[in-house]
Amino acid sequence: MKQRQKVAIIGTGMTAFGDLYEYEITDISNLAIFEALRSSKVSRKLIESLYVGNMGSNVFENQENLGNLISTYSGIKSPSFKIQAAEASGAVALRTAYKNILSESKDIVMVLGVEKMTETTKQPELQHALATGLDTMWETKMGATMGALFAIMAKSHMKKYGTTREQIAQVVVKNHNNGAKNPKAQFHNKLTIEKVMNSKPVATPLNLFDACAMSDGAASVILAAEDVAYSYDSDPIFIIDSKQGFAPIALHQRDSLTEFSGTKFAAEKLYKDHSISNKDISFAEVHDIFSISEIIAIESLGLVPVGEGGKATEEGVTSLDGEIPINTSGGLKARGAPLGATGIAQAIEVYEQFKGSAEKRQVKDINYAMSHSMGGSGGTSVVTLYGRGN
Amino acid sequence: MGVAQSWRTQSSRYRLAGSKCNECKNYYFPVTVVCSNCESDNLEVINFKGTGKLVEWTRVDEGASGFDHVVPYYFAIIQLDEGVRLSAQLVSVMDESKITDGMPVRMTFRKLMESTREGIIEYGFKAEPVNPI
Amino acid sequence: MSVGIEGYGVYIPYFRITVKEIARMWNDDHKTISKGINVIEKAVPDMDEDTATISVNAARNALNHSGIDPKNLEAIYVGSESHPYAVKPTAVTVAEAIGATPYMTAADLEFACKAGTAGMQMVFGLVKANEIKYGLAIGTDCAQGRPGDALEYTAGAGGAAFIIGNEAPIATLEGMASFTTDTPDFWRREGARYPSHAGRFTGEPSYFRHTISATERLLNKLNLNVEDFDRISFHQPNGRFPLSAAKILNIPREKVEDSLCVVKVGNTYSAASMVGFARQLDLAKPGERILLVSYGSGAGSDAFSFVVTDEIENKRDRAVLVDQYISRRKELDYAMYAKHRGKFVME
Repeated sequence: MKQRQKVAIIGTGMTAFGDLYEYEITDISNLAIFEALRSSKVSRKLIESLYVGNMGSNVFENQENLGNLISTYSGIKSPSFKIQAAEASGAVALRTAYKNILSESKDIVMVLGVEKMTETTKQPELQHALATGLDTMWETKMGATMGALFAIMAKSHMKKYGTTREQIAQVVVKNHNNGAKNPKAQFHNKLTIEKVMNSKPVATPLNLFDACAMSDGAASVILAAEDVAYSYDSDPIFIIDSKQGFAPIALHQRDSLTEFSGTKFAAEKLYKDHSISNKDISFAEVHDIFSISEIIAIESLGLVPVGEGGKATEEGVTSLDGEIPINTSGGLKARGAPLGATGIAQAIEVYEQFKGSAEKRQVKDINYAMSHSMGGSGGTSVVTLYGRGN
Repeated sequence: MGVAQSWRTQSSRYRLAGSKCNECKNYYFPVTVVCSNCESDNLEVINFKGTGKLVEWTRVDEGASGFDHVVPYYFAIIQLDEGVRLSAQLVSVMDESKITDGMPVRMTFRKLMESTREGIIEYGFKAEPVNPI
Repeated sequence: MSVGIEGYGVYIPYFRITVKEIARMWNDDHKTISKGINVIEKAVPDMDEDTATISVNAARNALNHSGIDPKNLEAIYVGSESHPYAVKPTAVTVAEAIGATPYMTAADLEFACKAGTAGMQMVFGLVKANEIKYGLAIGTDCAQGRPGDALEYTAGAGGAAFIIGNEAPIATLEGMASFTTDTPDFWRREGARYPSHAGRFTGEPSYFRHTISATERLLNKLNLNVEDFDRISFHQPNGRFPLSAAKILNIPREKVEDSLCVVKVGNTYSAASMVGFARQLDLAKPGERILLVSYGSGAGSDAFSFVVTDEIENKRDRAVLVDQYISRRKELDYAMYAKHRGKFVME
């Protein structure tokens, strides 16, 4: 038997994202898990491992041992555990599951990304929870917040490349336009550049609408080895590869304030290993935890020239009908950003686009697609490449 | 911060203690037990002089717990004269419009954040402009 | 060489609230008040400043000015009535921050506004006894006045640090004398948020009796007359008392005026006479004689006579002048002032 090359997504399930006050973390997990099981017709018993991506159950709910908790409430009695890599938890969980199948230790596994953030109702507490993904001693204690760090990147990018505040705000406008077309998105309202720029200041030059909102949500995918996948889906969508890139945890330790070096590393390796170029990528879901993050991400992913992320956004290159649509789901910004669930939600958006079920936000003529997720201010990056068989 | 953590990080918070690798000559802030560049454990503790320049900054209007009552404040990335970078609050700013890139700064001594009425007070460095602005 | 001041430094926060703004809050006539106390505005600490941070920054200035290695400091005393902790010394934080630990002694002192000069006496004693080579005495306060009380107009913030030794002093100590009684003019009970005071009783039997008696005692001891002094710094709870004390002692007001930082930074309590002394040193020429007289409620005064040496010129370019701190200012309104001073009940 030849060595496994690819892993298929054979089932997906996702809750709507937003204020899910009436549900426990185990409830939203079950909603996603059982939807994925039903959609794939995979029996619970066949799940060989359950990977749970979650950032802050400890901070938000005083709950750890999440793998065991969710296994108990879902009845999936396979080995299970939580994977934590800040906001990239879901993407790292997906990548770990993918790698486990490739290494032929498993045939069918489930990945769940879940976050229950609304247990916290105060902004300072939310900022504190998010800041646990930074260097808590030498950044957070010194006054850093996620907003402050992305604000610094925004200022640097504006100075270095002439990116304008309006271009940065346009990321939000675009993602809200896309989110309005996504039934499961947290936000369906449209925004204007003025509304973004006039929202409450967070850290100059960024405002409240540049940032993601608190959100609850769960997303689940069932992965199967290539040789197993065809028994469930005649036209499976594959994870072709998934790379993880590193940058120092603290922004001040990085050589550049205007790129995600870990993202760049992962993307370049993907292109090289698979002999493809940015032209082969039809659309991408990227980590827009703040508006500026999307601009830097699309540059570091090589999807637009370095320094032109703002301009590309302004000119509609990244819009739904543009050359390279970015965050067709609405992104973290509009679809919602339940931290650990975002990496899986991205995979599900990619899956739906390939399957042609993305309705009003459907992208045509898809070749390859990419998803990009980051932990903290960009210390952990995961870039995943998707495509069809053959 | 726990008492032991507060105590052991004191030298770096109070007087910018860091490490210098005697093999590859790299500097580190804070103090480290191994050189992440050359893997050497032949390091010596040094105190950075505490002068440097402003690399980039932002005015924080939405602070995390412990900082929420002191907003707005300035958060900055500083490059020390020895070449090492660190994060610090920028204080003693009388006129925000006079903050300039590359502005010379030095480290002053402040309370890092609001503490509870009964806990340990966490002191440490913050940056201030060398020339009052 | 005889024992003296090896280096000094002050630190004064840059926020100010004017007498006018406080008077607006309490429906007082600011012109009458300002004239009565001879104070225009007072220094207010930033929200992240306290007696420890001010002490450290003053001590760093003093170290820089003296040019000595902090490891050679063998005693550090911090005098204040606003130590951040009821139990846990401010002096150890200062010692760690400036790198003087661990082979040294340290303690916090408390004697209302004269705890700083009490520390100077102790360090002079240790150096004179050849027990230590160098020591550091600091007077710092972030004074709290009860809202609406007369003291609120003057309760300021600042610190002064003096390094004492016998290596290369900029001013040598000629002698010191004290005058101490149990006089209850001003106090704060354990656990009480604000101090209480005895109104006009803080004047005649308290401030004036003690400062003048200590001065006279020192003059007797050293066989000097008031005319022998070129510069004087009395404790300055307001801008009037030091001038009145000078008048009683037949000292021309010009000799005191240079010390009157209180007009623009308020009463810095434990630091007040020391900041005034620092400003006199900023302006002093070799050969001049300076009188320093503190006053602490409760009550006592410490008087010191110094003679400025040629060394002051050698170290001048390393000094951060008091005026640099006085000129750095940003005004606060009463609401922001109340926030800075923690006057809102937040929990």
